[in-house]
Amino acid sequence: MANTDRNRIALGALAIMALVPLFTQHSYYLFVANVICVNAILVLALNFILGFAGQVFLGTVGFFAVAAYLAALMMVKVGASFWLAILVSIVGTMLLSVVIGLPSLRVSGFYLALMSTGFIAVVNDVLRNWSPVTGGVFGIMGIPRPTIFGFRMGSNLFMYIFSFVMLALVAWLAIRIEDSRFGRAFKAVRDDELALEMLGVSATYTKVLAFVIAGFYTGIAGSLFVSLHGFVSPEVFTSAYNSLFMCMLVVGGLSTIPGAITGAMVLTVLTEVLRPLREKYLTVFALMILLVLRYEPGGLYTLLRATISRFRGRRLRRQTPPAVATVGGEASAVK
Amino acid sequence: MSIGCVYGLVALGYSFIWNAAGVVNLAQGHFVMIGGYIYGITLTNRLGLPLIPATILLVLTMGVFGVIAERVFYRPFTKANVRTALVALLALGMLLANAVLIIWDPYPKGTPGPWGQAGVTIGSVNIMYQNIFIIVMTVALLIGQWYFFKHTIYGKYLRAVSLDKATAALIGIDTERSIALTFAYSSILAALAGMLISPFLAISPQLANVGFKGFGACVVGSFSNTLGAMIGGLMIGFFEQFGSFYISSAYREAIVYIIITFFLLFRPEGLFGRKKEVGSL
Repeated sequence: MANTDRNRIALGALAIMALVPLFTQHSYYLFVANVICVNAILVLALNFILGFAGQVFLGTVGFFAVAAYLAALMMVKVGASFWLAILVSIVGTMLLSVVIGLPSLRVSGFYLALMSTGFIAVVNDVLRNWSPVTGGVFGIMGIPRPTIFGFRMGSNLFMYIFSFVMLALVAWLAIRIEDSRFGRAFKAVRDDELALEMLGVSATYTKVLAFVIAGFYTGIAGSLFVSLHGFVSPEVFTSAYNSLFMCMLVVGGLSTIPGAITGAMVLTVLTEVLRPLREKYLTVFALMILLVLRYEPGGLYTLLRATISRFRGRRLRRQTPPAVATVGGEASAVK
Repeated sequence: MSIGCVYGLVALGYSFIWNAAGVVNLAQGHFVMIGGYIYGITLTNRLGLPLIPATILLVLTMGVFGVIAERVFYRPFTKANVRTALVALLALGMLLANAVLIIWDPYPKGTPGPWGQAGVTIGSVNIMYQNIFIIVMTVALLIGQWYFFKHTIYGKYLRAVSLDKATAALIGIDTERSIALTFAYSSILAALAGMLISPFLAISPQLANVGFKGFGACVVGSFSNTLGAMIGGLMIGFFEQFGSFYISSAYREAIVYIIITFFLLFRPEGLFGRKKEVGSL
């Protein structure tokens, strides 16, 4: 019932993305649209950990950096194709998720949040200093665009079509996962760990699974990212960058898939608009997070649903089925 | 040694809020950074105030700042679940890190500190006055905090609030005001840490990284035991200095991170804590 709303909004967001090339062929706009796709995939990854499983682990950018470097190294140093590189990147990031996830998940809440900031700092240190492999502060250049059947996605238009198809696929997958028993298990970990354990589902296993799925998404995002830009350097992967993704998720709607996509769309465009402010644009984003949390914790997703309901001439029912309560599908009534 | 003391001070700030409000202030490192900026750039470099008036002004400003931060960025979110409060505190950190770029300017600055490079030579070792100052201040604050929690009525109020908010409210303690006071005091602590450390490091948003070290100090020592947190700070400072000397200075963050992970895995309550405190998190 309520999930048809979710599917509609997700579909609507993707439809808007699909229509972009019809309105503009300008290379810069298409580039921004490409960035939206990468960001949206990454925000979907974050949503599995922070949104569904409710673990405040904000080291996504650390994984993203590893994924990006793995893909870049495969393509540039090994000379592998994009497809092999993305595979290695996905598998590598998923493995790292297990390695980092297991110790981190012994702790929760504040501990986890601070550990994740530390994790980003460490990844950044390694990228900067392990010059023989990572190229140090200069990073890696000359990363090729992907090819399909010998056709190279040289222009931003073709690259965009490619990234968009990827985004659509992983968004569909995310919705399938949310509706599966794994999706329900993630939300149960978030809302009541004890109850989940009582039902015979291991909480730790579920959390690690969320990490691994996030690792899968991050691997894809990382590969697309390096192919799109053609180079990669450590200075991108900072905690500030991570805050950006957190902001996209919160503003879009925590724990919701369409929220993750719309959040990425709106905030990526906003980043471009605010470019004259340089690094200060994060101030605006931080304020946005606080305002959203204070006044509309469901984010854009809740607003969109309310708009849809009004459009149909019926009031938004606050008492929707428990699976999707007020806060973007989050059983806040538990508290 | 003195760097360790500063980490210890930051750790005291964490442990103070943890003891009184049962939360860890994720923006503590940013409070340290704000302290460094206010003291180093505004009060010392620009206004040229001597040490004592500058410190008093710093303490007053940061006390007010702490109360405002609690009222605006923490209290409204306590009604929702823990994750919301966490994200709000992270957003506060992000806001502060970028606000300093707007208020002051984005280039890292140095400040000479009250004694500059002057020091005293004992045998063949030259010890800077700043180091001695840090150690003296730390010991004084440590004793003050211990006395406050164990022997004053307000300290007992705060401990009661941290143990059981509802019961504390029932016996007539103003819990909201207690938590506001806690934030004020811990942001003063953070500011003093920022003031003490700023002559050694450049004043920049990077100063917020000290927060992670302070957190590490709490993990190694203990969140609930004041002295433990202090010793944890000393140990983190020690590991960091020796690690960067004997292993590699490029990986000092990594060394601290590994130590913290190790402790979280094998002794999550810290060296000086009791077993159950982590479970209650």
